[in-house]
Amino acid sequence: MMHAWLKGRLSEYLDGALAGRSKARLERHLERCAECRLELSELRGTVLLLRSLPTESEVELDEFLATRVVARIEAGDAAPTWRDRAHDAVAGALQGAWTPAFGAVAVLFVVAAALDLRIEFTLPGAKAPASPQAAAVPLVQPQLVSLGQRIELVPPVRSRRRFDPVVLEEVSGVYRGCAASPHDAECQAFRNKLVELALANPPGFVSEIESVPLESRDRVLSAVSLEAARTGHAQRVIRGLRRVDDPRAFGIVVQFQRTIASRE
Amino acid sequence: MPLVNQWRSGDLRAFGELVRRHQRKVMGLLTRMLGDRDDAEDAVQETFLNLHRHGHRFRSESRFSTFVYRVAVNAALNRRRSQGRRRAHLSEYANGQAIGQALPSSPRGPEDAMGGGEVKQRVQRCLQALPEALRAPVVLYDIEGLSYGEIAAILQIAEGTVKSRIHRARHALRKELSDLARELGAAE
Repeated sequence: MMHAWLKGRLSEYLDGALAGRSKARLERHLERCAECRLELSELRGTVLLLRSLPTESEVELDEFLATRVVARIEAGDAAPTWRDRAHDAVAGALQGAWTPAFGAVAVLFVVAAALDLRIEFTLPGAKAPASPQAAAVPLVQPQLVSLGQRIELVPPVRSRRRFDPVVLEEVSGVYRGCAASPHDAECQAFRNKLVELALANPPGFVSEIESVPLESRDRVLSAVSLEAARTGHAQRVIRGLRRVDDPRAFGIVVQFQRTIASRE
Repeated sequence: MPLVNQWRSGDLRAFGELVRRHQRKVMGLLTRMLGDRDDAEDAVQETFLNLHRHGHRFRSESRFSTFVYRVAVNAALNRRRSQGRRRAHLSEYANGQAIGQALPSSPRGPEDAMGGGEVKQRVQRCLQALPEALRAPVVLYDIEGLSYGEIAAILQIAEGTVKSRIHRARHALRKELSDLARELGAAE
């Protein structure tokens, strides 16, 4: 039994990672165990063989790699995927560092599920999706605000930024309302408002975008970046965002660049 | 880490410089992890794109090179999974086939053993036949020269697990390469 245990320590012994009594015991065992001596010798030989493989300095380098990688980043190939965003949102929520809206929305949905409520973020003035009850209910359903009456049931969300349901409702409106009627004056006004915010206050714009529910964020960004490109403000927005000392601004810059590239 | 900070504030030229500084290390690691130069070249690009994509996850209290290694190892693992090679290698390994059987017979002496291109190919093939979970730790430790602690941080496993996986990997390799290993070990 001791033989098997000591045999299992040979690799550590070879690395010099065994010390004290264990090391002394193994060395005593090696003196009288030919099998372990042979195994140690073969392990040493195996490590030497591994080290015979081409070293770093023998690796042939691609001198244009950096240029190619940067070009691909500029083309949007390194834009965060929905999985990355979801991962970051969950990690952020767990750390309590950011994504106040994520936390608040998650709590809302949990409570809504418990109370069997249906939550919809609908822009005032936007057309609601057709449903059998369409004739019986008004088209405009600001249900998030009415749900607010029940929010006292929700434990307070600890976050750095106050959760603002009105902002969330409006921003989501760009996505929900404008997908159906992109030329709607109100949708246009929201897009303009976000572009203005991006120009005047890039950090505020980053926070605003981060407060949009994950499933809508791409569409909102796409709509805003198109608007910025259409009005000739995209480059200014990008310059402003690049100066923001916040890694989240990266993803937004990439989205803007991708939109501009797709228009060219 | 001024370059890292410049990159994180949006300077893509700084990122280009980081690519130049780390590409040799990443290419070396991926060549050994994947065993194929073309695969490694593609994985190098993926590594740096992922590095840019996940740069915000880097915490400045840890070493940047450790973070780069971590992204590179993940790129290698993803590549393997997407190609479906892993399963093939695992079953080959599980069946106990001698990977070196079809290769030329062993060299006469230790010097031949170290120098021969055929021997290196054989070692590389045996390395490729290891399960992913064993290959990454042994490559990072025995070839890249990282410490147990650094490998634990890169692979996000406990240090004890790193030690045991290195041990298991060496034993599996020793079994396949015993003829060469015995000569080399005896000559030391």
